[in-house]
Amino acid sequence: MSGPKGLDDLFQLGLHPRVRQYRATPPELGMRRTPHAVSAAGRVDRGSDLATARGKTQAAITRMIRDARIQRGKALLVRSAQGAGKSTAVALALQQHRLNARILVGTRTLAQEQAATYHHYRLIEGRNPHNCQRYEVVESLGARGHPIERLACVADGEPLCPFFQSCAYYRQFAQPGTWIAAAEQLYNPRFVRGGEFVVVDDAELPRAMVEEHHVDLETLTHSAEQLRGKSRGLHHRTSGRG
Amino acid sequence: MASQAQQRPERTNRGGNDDDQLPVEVRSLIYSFAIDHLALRNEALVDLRRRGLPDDLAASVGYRSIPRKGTEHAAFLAALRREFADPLLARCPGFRDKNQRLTFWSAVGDRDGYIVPYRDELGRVTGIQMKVLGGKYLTAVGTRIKHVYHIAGEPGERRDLLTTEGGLKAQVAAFHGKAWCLGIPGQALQPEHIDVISCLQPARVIVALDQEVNPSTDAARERWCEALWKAGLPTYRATWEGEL
Repeated sequence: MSGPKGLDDLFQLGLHPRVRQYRATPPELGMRRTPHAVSAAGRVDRGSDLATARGKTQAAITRMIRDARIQRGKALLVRSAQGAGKSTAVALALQQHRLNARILVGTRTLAQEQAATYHHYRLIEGRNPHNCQRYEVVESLGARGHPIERLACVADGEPLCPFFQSCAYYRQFAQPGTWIAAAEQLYNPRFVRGGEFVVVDDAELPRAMVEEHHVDLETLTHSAEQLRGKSRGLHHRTSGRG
Repeated sequence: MASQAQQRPERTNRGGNDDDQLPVEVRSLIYSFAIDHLALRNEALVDLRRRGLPDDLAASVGYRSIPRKGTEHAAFLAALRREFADPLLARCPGFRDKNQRLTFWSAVGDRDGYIVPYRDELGRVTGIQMKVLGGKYLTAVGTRIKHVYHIAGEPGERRDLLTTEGGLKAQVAAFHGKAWCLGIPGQALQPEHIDVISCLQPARVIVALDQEVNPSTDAARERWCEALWKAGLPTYRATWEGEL
């Protein structure tokens, strides 16, 4: 098979290229991070007025984002009061230094608000009835703790969903620039991939990190009885009586 | 508009004014004068038509046949020397040979060709190449590739910038695809080119090198994508079923 070699030949045939976003995955992404103690204690501010706090916050954030490409693997913890201008400083610095950042905030509503305020942010949403045409399937799989993408959407590059090619959920990951989403997206490789800088803006990390399950007393009692039975069976087998 | 202009990143090197090379404004002046004093012969027009460029566009961009050796070549050089001082011409790529003598390409016998101008976003000629008819491209002696690029077409609403190898390819692609294209001579994308691309503020930079079975083109594509991505540009790659 032989097709047009150059872009000029392609256009002359009235055809157009397929365009795919380029994502270089930093090798550090999969590396294990181990916290370690440092000898020098961190600086503690004993309080200041709002203007000073805002100035310091903005300077620290701007410096971090400005130097992000040369000091990879570093993190900056900003702990200042509400209204100190953290989110604004991040937005302005990202716009100025043109970094593809991944921003995580507490809720989807907050993400929507920031995306509406800062036009260089692109909103990324989890699957929902508006961006997924088989949401009932996805919802059912998710409720049972199954891996959604691998079972319902795409596996090894092969679409499993009949709507995959036009899927609005996946299309949002083709957007260029800085993405903003709710905290849960921090654990979505598609969200993190391609990002040069991660901003956790008051995101409720425990909500995303800790999975809670509620079990009623009846189920708990029943489970305990089952486990006791299993334990007895195991004892019988190991002692040669079962 | 004023605030947009203020937000534009500052270019570190505007068209090569940072070293011993002539500033782009001066290079453009000399190249434009040369283009005005050269003709576009039928042999070159046939080749440009074959590539897909209409005659009027070829003429307006500045594709011109190289002068024939003899009186035409001599008259061309004489006109240049009347307009510009020899030391100035000698510093302009294309007008000196490896022995620093004042010269220019010439057509001899069956060996003919045409010059391919590389124009920037302001229409200035940043550099030239010579296409040998039936042969390859030659880059003017003394050219610094990092200062040479060709912008063709308009950004349009989408502001997708297609980047490719070669000024003529970019021009033809822009014409037929109604696209905004940037072409550089060869596959060596330089930081200065990336600087230019950043200043153009495209919504997407699409790397559209040839689709061919060629490991060096594949490596160049990867190199371009990585360099653009590392520069913080929204980088995309174009694919199609090409020459396999």
